Amino acid sequence: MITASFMPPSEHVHWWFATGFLILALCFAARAVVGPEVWDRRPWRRYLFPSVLFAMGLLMFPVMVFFTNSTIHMVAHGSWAETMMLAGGAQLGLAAGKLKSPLWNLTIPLGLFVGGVAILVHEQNAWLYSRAAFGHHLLGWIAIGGATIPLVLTFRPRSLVTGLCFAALLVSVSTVLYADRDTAPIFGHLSPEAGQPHR
Amino acid sequence: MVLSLGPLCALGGVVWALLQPYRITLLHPYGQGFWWLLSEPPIYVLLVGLAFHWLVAPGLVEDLEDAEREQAQ
Repeated sequence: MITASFMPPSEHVHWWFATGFLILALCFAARAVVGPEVWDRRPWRRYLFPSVLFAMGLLMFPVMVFFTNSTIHMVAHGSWAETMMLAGGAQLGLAAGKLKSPLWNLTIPLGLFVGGVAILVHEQNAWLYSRAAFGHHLLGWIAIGGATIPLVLTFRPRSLVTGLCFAALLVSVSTVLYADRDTAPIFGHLSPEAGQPHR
Repeated sequence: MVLSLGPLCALGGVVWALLQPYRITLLHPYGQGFWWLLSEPPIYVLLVGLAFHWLVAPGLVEDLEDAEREQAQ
């Protein structure tokens, strides 16, 4: 009970991760515009988005431990943590030159696809149950559909349009996460079973 | 375009703050707990945009100009 009073509300955690996705979006947008060669000219910039991605995966583990209340919820958060760390780790390896094959970039679409499936599977309520349920369904389908963009980017890394589409995908993920509330209506709908809305 | 990314993001945060001022609890801080005062999503967006503009964009533009100069030579 004492620990719980020190913990932030879960919606705040969503907003912090939304900020992480926004940082990634800006990095990928800029990288798409200038090209990977120019982006990689400074070592710190080469490591910037892989580090952010890896750190987000790492930080998802405490979220998994402290913010989940069912097995499926915990498994879903664990899968996001693992796939984000895998993608971030692979990108760090590529940035450092330890990994050579560009096929390691496939860890990003893999992470998005697995993450999307986990979001949809662990959301037990219908779309209009509450804003959080709507956000989960929307985010799941954005991630599953959007996984095709980094898949294309793996094979066409210099494509400006695909790079900008990927940045837009990350902005949309960020937007849905920022819109999340613990208990709030969506399009005027809120299930009576969801509880009292906060604000 | 690289120089416009940060300001565009920051502008998004400002527009969001104007559209949903209740998302900034610092504007009505009485009765709010620590986490609610810390979590200000529109300000996060603003800060990300400004940080990108001040920390990432200048070096990136410099490197882009260098690359273009090298290509021209």
